[in-house]
Amino acid sequence: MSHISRRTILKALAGAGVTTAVSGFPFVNRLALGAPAVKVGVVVPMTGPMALEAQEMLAATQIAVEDINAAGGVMGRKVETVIRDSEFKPEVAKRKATELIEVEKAAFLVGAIVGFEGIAMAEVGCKNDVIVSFFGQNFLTVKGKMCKYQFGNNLTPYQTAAAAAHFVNEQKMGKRWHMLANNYSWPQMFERAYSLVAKQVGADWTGVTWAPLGTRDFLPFLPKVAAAKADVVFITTWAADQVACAKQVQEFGLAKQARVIHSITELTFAEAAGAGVYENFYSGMPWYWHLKDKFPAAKRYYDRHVALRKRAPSGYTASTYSTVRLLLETANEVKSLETDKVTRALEGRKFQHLKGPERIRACDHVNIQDVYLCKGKAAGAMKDSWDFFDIVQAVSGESASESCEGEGFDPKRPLSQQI
Amino acid sequence: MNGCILILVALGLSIVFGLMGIINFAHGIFYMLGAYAGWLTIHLTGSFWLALVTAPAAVGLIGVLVERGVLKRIYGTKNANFAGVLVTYGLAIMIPDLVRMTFGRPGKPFAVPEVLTGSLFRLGAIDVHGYRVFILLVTAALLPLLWLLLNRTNLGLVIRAGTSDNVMVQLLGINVAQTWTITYALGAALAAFAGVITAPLVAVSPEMGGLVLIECFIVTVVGGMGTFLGVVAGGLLIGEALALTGMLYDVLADVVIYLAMALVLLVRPRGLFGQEGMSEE
Repeated sequence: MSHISRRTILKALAGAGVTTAVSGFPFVNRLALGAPAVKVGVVVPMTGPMALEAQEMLAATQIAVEDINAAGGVMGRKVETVIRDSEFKPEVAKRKATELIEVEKAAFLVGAIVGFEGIAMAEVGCKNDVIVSFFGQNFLTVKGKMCKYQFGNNLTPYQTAAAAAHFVNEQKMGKRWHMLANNYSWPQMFERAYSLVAKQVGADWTGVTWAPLGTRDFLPFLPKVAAAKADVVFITTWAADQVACAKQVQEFGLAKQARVIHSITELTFAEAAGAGVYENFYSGMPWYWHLKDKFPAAKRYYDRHVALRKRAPSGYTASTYSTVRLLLETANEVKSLETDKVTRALEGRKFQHLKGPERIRACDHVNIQDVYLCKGKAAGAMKDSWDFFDIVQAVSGESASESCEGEGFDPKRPLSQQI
Repeated sequence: MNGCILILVALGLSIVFGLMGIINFAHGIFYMLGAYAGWLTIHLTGSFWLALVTAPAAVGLIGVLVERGVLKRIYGTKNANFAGVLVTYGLAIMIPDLVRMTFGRPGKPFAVPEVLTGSLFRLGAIDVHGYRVFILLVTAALLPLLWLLLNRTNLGLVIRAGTSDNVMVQLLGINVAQTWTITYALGAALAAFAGVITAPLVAVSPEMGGLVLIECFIVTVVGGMGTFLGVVAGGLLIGEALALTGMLYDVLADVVIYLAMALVLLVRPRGLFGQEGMSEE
């Protein structure tokens, strides 16, 4: 039997104390032991056609929460995510969002990739006085369609379209514009924005060629697009429609007649289309991974996402990271989880996460941010399997955002005082 | 392109319904699986031409497994038709998720074979590309072969007889079970072939079978359930309706196929080539 002296035990305890005090276990040291965790309710379509995008966004959420916890959590409390599957159905999104608030007591509600999920979640958040922030486009920024607790760090449809239009104008690509788009509410918002900006800059808006959602063959629609004799053709499609459209627009040779601009794209679409399909097309994005060479925070985020998912993060995942981080760091700063208090602190808040400076405009909760216009690369010019684009220009968010008056809001008062 | 694809996919759907009385909601997944099997073949061998053979063969085999392993169990049961709808609908939900889990990231790049790229000639405002002509020619070549199979072979005779009166064929001592398996596999292989030839022009994704299935149901209803000519006529009509509306009045493109279906059903409730008694119980 070995004998351990009292002095040895005291030395060991003292040593352990010193080690813990200076160790790399910030969670243990800095997070309040015993305090309940701050819960962030996440609703994303983990099954269905957007399942893989949802997984990417969950990874971004995880990284954001890890960053917040590493910095001491929110008011010293650890942050946890409670994740629910919307199954890509609005009624399920609504039910899961309600469950997250009523059963899980989530302090914030985040998620939703597409519009119907966002509408469902917003309804629940607004009804229960809980802040709800979207991962997908922030498309509800119109008076009468949003409540004071709605936010979204991603681009609005207006910002996306206006940025592409200003880019075209600044690059002197021509003054005759046309749009090819899927025929449903989201691209219809782009039509309004493009026609408004065309009027502002003196461009000739020749209208829209509408293709049904789920179009497999875009070829019948392309002669009408060509007949518009536009200098610039904006394409507003999403996911499988965009991939099919990109392939067939390339086949049709439209890029030889006009500059082709995808209003917005995601890295996953370029991957699905294949190397070289987006060659010579311009595309708008809220973020592109080449920004890692410009911003050290973007590099750190990129490295962690690649380690986690074995693939480069897309623009939407970067927006997701920023959405979650902004909510939590704001709550920590005001030392409160009270919805009204955090809402007021978010209004007008300036921050910089993974790209240039951003600002939540107080009067409509739109994130005023740069929009990146990128040019598709030829297959032979790609340096790795994710290198589909080069950033050509960052369009300032100030010039690309619709005014609060245009949306029906008073520009001088925060939204929380208007609704 | 649309007409060709719709004919190839709808043929299998129509024959399976005609012979087996099953409204096969799983049919769209064979189209999708064909595109994935084609991608896998090209990924492994680099040959698009080999993919045209391996994908239909592999998916035809999957069709055999589905028919023998799942559908066989509901034949002759009470409410077999309803059970068929439920089972195939379940497969149509489950298999795309399995594909997502297996193949990972969204979509698979699938390029037009180099030899078929580029414009062949100009037709009005459109440059007609080699690959579009290839789709047209290969469909035009397949249709007479299928017609011969259905009209000039013993298998075709049994299929046509079964489509008309299934019970009578069984009473004559013909091995209907085997015919059902072969028919189901043939339908799956045809859909898979359509999936491979469409893949270079669209997004290869687990969801690609969903919409084509809806359009194919419309094609079979318009043409007449269980009829070869009906599917060909229905496919061409719906495909052209989609294309012409896109060219002439795009805002109607969303609804034109439903309008066409309503119009045909008003004039001929059994579809263009549907016959009394066929596929009716």
